[in-house]
Amino acid sequence: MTADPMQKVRDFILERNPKIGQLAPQMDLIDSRAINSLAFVDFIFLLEELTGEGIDPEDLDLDDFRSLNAIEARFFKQKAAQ
Amino acid sequence: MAWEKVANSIEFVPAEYSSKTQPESGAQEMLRCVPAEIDRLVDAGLPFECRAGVRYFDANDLYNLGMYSNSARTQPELTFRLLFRFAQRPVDDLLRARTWAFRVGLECGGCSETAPWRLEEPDVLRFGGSVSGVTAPAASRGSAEYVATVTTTGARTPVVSPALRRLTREYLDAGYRWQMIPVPMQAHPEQVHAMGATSCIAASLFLAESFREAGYRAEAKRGWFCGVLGGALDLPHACVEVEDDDGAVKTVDIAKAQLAARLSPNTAEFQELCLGSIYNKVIPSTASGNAAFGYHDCGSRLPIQVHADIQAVR
Repeated sequence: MTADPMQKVRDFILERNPKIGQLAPQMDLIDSRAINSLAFVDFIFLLEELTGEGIDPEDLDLDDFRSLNAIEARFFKQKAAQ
Repeated sequence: MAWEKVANSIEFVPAEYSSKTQPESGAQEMLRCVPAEIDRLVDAGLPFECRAGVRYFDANDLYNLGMYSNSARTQPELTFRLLFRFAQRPVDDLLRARTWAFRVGLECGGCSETAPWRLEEPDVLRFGGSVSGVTAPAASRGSAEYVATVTTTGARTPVVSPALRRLTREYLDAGYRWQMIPVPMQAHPEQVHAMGATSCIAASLFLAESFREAGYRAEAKRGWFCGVLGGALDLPHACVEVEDDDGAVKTVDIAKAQLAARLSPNTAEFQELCLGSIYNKVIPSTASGNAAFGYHDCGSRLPIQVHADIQAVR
């Protein structure tokens, strides 16, 4: 796993949404459209790269992407705990 | 990237069916293009409309350009590569019972009064599935939601009729190229085929007619493709239901067979599954052919928008 994967996640979102400025951990990334349907697939491939594991599109739940906290819990903390 | 060459290989959506809603920024993101490349696509014939100084494009045109760009980096290529991973798995996984949290949003843009909603509901009982926990929309104005828990299952029931298999194979071998096509246009398979293209509804309507001409009872049916990126995408789906020589109703999912062949290697088993069997990633509905999934009895002449969000129950 990359050293600070959550920084890469933040960089990805801010690169596409420079007007946001700062990303709060609990900010709703879906409703705010910081991750929109166009960016969604790119984001999944980024997460695969950062976790080193494939993601099954069937197992995805939009709530897993709703905030930085949710992303960290679903894709990075779970894995670290294993 | 030789975008001119890609543009020349695409049949753009005819003007009467085109809806140019995707702004240039979205086109750049979808195709991974810089502005100069969008200019080149426009020069090569990509239709657009200019509103308030911004160029807007039909999302289907952009999708098709991306799909056939062979760049391996456009959004459509990445999306379909991800979606069709399942077709490479052992098909036994597609034959077991699966439960889905099924949620359909209905939106009526033109209504001015409270009125009942009608949804073409999941129609899975015939194929061994079940529906529970239904919350059907009450009469309302503007928007509503249908929620249910739907269990699907699969069954290996390949088409046995040589005539049905021949007609299906002839269609697959006809050389039509799968494209994103606006749903209203898909009701006219001859127009879609005249573009050298095919799509799930157009193919299913055409094939159902071919089956009927051969003496079989057949009908194109609409449904939902499950587990599509957490509901972030909403792809229309259609297949043909036909009564086979053994008296059983078989499902021919011709577009998925064609897409799997194009998008993923080693999918022969899945492609065969599409020719008669049922699998757990599709929820058939009561809607036939190119019919709408939902209606609002408010009297508005505008079709309602239907968005499905179908997620696997973990």
